[in-house]
Amino acid sequence: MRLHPLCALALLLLPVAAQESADTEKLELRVVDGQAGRATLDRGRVDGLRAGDRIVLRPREGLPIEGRVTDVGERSASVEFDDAARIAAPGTRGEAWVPRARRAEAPPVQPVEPGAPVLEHPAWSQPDSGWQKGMPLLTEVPALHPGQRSPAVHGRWYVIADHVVDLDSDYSYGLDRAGIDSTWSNAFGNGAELNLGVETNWRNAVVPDADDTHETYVRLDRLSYVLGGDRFVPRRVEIGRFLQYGMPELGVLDGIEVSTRVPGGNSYGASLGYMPEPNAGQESFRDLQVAGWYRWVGDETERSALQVGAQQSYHDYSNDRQLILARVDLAPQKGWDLHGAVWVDYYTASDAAKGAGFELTQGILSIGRVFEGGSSLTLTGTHVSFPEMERWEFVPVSAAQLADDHVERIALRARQKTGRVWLREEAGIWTDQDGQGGDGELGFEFERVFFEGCHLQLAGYGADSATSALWGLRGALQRQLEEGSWELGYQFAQYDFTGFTDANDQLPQHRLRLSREFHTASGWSFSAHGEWLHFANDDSLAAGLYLQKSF
Amino acid sequence: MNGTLRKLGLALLGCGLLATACAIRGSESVPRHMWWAGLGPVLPHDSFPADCSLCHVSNEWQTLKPEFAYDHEQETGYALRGAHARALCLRCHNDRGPAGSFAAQGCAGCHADLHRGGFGNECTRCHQETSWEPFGMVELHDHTRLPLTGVHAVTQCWRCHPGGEVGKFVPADPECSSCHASDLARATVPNHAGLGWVDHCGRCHLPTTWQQAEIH
Repeated sequence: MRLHPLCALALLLLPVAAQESADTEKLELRVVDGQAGRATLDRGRVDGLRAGDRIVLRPREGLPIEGRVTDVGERSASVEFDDAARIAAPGTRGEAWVPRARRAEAPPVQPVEPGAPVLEHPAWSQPDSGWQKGMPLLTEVPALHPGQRSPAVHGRWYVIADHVVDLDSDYSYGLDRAGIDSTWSNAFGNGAELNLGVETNWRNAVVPDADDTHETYVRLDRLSYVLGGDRFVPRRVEIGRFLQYGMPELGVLDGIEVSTRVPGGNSYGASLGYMPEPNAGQESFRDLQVAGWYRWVGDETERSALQVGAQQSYHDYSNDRQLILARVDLAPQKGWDLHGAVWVDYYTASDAAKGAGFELTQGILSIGRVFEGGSSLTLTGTHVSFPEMERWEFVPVSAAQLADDHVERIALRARQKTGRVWLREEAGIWTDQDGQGGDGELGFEFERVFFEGCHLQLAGYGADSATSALWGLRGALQRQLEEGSWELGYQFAQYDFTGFTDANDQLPQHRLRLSREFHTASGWSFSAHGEWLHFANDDSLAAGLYLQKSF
Repeated sequence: MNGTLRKLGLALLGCGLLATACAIRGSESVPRHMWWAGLGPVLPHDSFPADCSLCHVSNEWQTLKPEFAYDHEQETGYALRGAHARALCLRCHNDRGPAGSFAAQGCAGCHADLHRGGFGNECTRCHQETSWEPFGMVELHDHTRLPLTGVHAVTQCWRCHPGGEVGKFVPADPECSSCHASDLARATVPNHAGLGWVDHCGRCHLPTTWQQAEIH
């Protein structure tokens, strides 16, 4: 016999609806143990449950399971399901509707036979441990301090290889990396953490008609000791090499950072030490810095925060950079998010290229919102110019570049869903010291095509860049699997280079990419990709591997 | 120029003060189990099943049963994807504070921002939750001043962005000589420097090939 869907829905709702009334109230319960046709619940007589009561269990998958209470203990109950074949897993949520009057009743007390002797309890030997009259006998569970937890080491090690071969010349290039990021928590029984991050780079380049390069770098990204900074010890101290915790904009430090969180969630901190150069060599002990910051938060959820900081640095012990930083983060539960940060340099008369005064050398502002259903809209604006300083933070530039070079960009991105199709739009404009340009992209993402978990992405795009005008198409087919994913992508672009004659200014470019990713529950991750690139009369192949173990 | 900057500075200061005024509010409404209150277990257990042995080893409440499984999305409404689904609970739920407040700050709430704030908080533009490896860099450059044409599309990031190895990205000047200064110095047949051919490389070269030169 086939049921009409509406009839089936009515039958499903009937047992619950029938029990709702002003005299009953909902009792939420969970399955403690389940077997075919029956289960044990975590509610009992003290909760108002009685033999004969109807219950409904709601497993995560499948239809609700109905049953009847057969036996009731003080804090547990047994039920038999109407369908003897159904099984409810431990933890499954459910409910019963019990009379309000029954909930108000005190649990029945076992009668004491008249004349039975009353036994005297010997004196209690255990102290009350701070218990006072009026407190519940079962007080709140005390929390473990970090120093009471078992020491543990966690993190990851990884190996990465990326190689490129040009099929039309002898050129080849390879970058192989191996590294480890790890944290030893409660390393010395005092709740402190010991952090280590180190990576080795092997770089090889074979360049026709030029010197080949074979370089090896060992980069120490982090070796630090952290004490405090938890809910028991609001003062946090980190010493060693580390990215500054309170305000990452201040950069990596060989030194010490001290920060404190005050009641309510506000925090402040200061740091002192040397800044290693941000490159593979990481030369240090030439740039001394002292910095401080303060962070205000709306409340302890930290969904709104304003932070200001200042950094004074010295290059070879000579005055170098005076930097003022500010950032704001607003992320309400519902509504528009706003994130912004500014880097403002203060120059003196000795800064010849810039002249005395303040300059906004870097800024980013992003306003966005994710709407119900997943659609989103984001507007981002950025500004970057070269700050004048002696420290190495970028490839040396000329005085003219230092004075004039800048780039600003405003970009709008939107994503909407209609049925099984996501529509994606991007548009941006930029300006720099030499000109301006813009770009746009329109894309479609189709869900569940060909196979379950398979997505198809198609996009068309165009741009007016500093060197060329271009248009292109790209497509990607991706399938998510239980243990990873694979992706096949193709991109075509047609470039029209600026400054060339009509005969030589056109360049079509084709790019084909295949990638596969695996991961396991035990913490192994592996991915591989291969890429073929064809442009003009040239073909190149690129391949990469990534292996990681989390522990 | 300095006058404009001063006005900009004053405007920023005003916005900052306004935001500060909005931000500094009382914390009376802070629910239990937040940073300070109660100092109970790092996870509130109020809504957990009454039978502790469902999750814990008997007589050892700090140890979870080997077969412990927890459907984070079903129980909390917050799905864990990629590497997060395989992470130890204590990596997020620990003594540093409530996981919710860190999650509200986005990725940087838990993960160190190696880019030092320069890229904002949209980490998923370049990173996925499955691994740290960035993706889609060629596509991303189609929205910059210098789309990656020819060999540039298969060149390592750090060749144009020194500092990229440690997450410090500075915009590269699209002028060829900013990256190819050493190539220019080697170009002696003909002698580029001697002839004054030190800029506007595009008059003769296409930015597409590993070969030394293709005259057009």
